[in-house]
Amino acid sequence: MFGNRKLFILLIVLVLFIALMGVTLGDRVGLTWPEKFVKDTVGFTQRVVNKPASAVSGFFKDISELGQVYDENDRLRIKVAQLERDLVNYNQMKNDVDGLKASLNFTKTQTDNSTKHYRFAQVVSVNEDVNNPTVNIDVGSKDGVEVGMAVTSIDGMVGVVSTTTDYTATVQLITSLSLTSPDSYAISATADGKSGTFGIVESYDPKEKRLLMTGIKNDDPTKMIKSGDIIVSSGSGGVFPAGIVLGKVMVVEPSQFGLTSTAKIRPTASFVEWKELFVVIPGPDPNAATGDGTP
Amino acid sequence: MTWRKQVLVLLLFVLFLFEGSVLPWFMPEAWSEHLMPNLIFVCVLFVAVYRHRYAGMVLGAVFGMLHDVVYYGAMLGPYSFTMGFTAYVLGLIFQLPKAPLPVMLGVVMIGSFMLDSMLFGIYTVFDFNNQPYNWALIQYIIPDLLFRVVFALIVYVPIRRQFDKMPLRPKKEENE
Repeated sequence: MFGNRKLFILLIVLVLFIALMGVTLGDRVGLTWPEKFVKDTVGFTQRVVNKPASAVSGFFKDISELGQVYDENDRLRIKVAQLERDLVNYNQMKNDVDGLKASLNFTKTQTDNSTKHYRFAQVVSVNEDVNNPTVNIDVGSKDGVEVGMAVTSIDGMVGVVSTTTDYTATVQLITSLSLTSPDSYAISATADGKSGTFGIVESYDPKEKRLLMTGIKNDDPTKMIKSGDIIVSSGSGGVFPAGIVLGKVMVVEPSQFGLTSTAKIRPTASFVEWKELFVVIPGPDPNAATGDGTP
Repeated sequence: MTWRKQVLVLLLFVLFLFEGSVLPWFMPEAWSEHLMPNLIFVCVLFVAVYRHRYAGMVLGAVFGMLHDVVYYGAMLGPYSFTMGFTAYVLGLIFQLPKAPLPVMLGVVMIGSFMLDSMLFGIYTVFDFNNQPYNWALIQYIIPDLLFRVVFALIVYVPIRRQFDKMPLRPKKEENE
């Protein structure tokens, strides 16, 4: 009798949990207030704890890299000079393009699609879960961050904002990208510098640590993607703005039926070292005077 | 009546903050894809073995839910359910206030294995991962197990000492 009662309770709990998992699965419209409250308070304390920790860990890393600073400085100085020269060209071209767009009556969505700005964010906590890799950042909906925005590191795209509260946001890493997953998304991509190339990045292979870009047309020899190409988001489809670096093509293979090719891309972002990230917000930066604030 | 119990729960929360916001910054890079250092879970198992399985279950469910909510990526519930359930089952089998060190380490091993396997199962059922189980076993379940056993070794003496100072309640409450 007693054992039966416990078994019964266990079954009820099991059913309740499965229901909870099912309900919270996939796309949800916002969070309930208890979740927001917990996330905001825990996020705040995590920020407090994290600040000294990241400072100390950064300190040791800095010391170990002290020897290379001189060389790096030289390299960067040359690069800055180059960038200064390019910036003049860039501004001129940007003005031209903006003018042309204005005279062609581009809609707001269309211009937002091609412009973007970066919102700096500090990582406050990391979930080291292989099945559900997420990181929390210290900007939230009060800072203009919305669900579905892309998040990059200095090197490239790392994930997508999956939930936001007022002061924190959770980023689902691109390593959980999968075709079958209930909250999957696809990134339309193109090879940098090769206009007209197109493919869709929609899964990640954790065994080989490669993103898979499928649906590349292989009938036009001028629009082929080769190994070594840098893959960036193309901005078509309207989900992510154009120009977010995804990775470098390692191998291109014919797909199962031979009509298209599949490229295996090594992500440029490393998914191990977290400090600061950038949320990519479509549209021009309301605060900045010029430029799109590229980091 | 001292505040020992409340302080220990608070310390558990500090551990939660530590494993999310401090540990990832100090772990070697090569480890990070093999480990999910769920250190709270080890402490929950200690509670389930040395105190009572219900206490372990409630702590596991509460801190699991906290983990689920704070790192909400896919769904709510997996951690809460698996941590509570594992703590309850292991508390049911191994609840001995005087359990020696090897027994406790065995419990941590079984618990860690159960937890990761159940999480793998849940995420597979909901189609979040397509990896075979044997890959997951080598990739993170076994490294996790070793890491948690080492952590259990480190915290064994301080936790035992605290628990020995806390008298077991003579009468167990029977709700849920």
